[in-house]
Amino acid sequence: MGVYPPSLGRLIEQFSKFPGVGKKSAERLALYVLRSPKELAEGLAQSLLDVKEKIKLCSVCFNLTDTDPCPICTDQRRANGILCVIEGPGDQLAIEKSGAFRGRYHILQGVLSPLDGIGVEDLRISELISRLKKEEIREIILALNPTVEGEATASYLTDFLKGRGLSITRIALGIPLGGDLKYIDSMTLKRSLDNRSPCDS
Amino acid sequence: MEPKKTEAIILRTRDLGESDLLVTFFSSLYGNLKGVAKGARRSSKRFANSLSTFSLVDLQSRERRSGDLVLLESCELLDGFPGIRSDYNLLLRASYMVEMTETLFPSNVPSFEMFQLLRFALEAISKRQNVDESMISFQARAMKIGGFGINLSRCSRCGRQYKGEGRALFHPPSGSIVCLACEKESVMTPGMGPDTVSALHRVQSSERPLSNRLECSDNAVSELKAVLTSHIEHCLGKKLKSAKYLHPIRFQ
Repeated sequence: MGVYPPSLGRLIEQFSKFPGVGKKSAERLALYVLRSPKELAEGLAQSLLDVKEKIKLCSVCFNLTDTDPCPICTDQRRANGILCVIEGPGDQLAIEKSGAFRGRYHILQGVLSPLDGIGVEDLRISELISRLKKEEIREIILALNPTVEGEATASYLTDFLKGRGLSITRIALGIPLGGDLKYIDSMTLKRSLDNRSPCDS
Repeated sequence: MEPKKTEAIILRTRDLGESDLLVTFFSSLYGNLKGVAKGARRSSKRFANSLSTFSLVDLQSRERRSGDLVLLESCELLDGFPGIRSDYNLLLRASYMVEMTETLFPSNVPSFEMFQLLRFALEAISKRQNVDESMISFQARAMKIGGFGINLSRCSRCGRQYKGEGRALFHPPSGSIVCLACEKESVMTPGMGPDTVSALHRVQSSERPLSNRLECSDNAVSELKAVLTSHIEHCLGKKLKSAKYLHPIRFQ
């Protein structure tokens, strides 16, 4: 970083530690901050500190939050008794954007992945079990990603939760809206055909 | 650079940058390789669900001018082994097989025999065909292909030939059997009956990629598990990461 003044060099170095940000991008970002009004730099610095100091996991659903319990867990307008089990906070955001679900969430904080050293005890499964009785859960919706690990996790949870008087459902798998059959892989097509639904339903 | 076309099994994938995937795969022609699938996370058309772990694929790649990573150009799914997705216990076994393959065959060590073994083993467990026996057979064959076959012909201490009568002990440091006159049976030197030695010999010398029927007693299966676990840990110098999950915890 010899060509830059030390303070600018340090900022470039910090930006280049971000995932997906190379040296050139880090230089561009640092120069943008330098050219921008002081308020932008102050706001950015304060936001970075706030995130590190205030964000924690909700003690009920394990979502990222700065109030515990999180706003979704304390929202009285949401339906009780229906729990949507998801992998991470990003998935909750996607479901909330869809507006299709008004129940409660439980975030596992990952999926079972023996190759990455993630086993049953590393996920929030025991906390899920303790919520079942405490919150009188009637239905569990497994909204895990259809990856090998996500599906195996869903299968593990299904085996584990059955026989507890719960309705256990999984989000549907199949052709995405706007998709093209020519480009759909054989496994997805097979699932779509296996799980086809009547048109008059 | 000419494109390379080969069948491969996807061992691992990892996000790379905004939209790419870093893919580790074991190919039938070139062994264990790593490659970048550009835009694989953004577009579902080019690699359409074919880059999932454990999938058997037809893959086209091209070497880059610099670095060890190849560039993945296209990939077609041949078999996704769907059974593995629907059972956590099968996922555990498949993960163990993949990790063992990666450990025994580092980058650029081709072995068509190992590729076939992994392929048939994943297929067998996906179809739930004698899962335990397929696993044992995979372990024994993989070690043999990797150059760590167990010597079952004679005692490594006194050199006495084993004629298929009486118990023999497995001695991990020598990767061989020893006779009861030379060593005592213990956890460190697990014992094997004639039935067990014979089954292990059949698996190691079989011409089929995978023998998923060991045709031996339950006791012999238990003895084989103990011997192979001890042998693998000794040869690899570590316990595989996925091995510790082979008996999943059940919450009450």
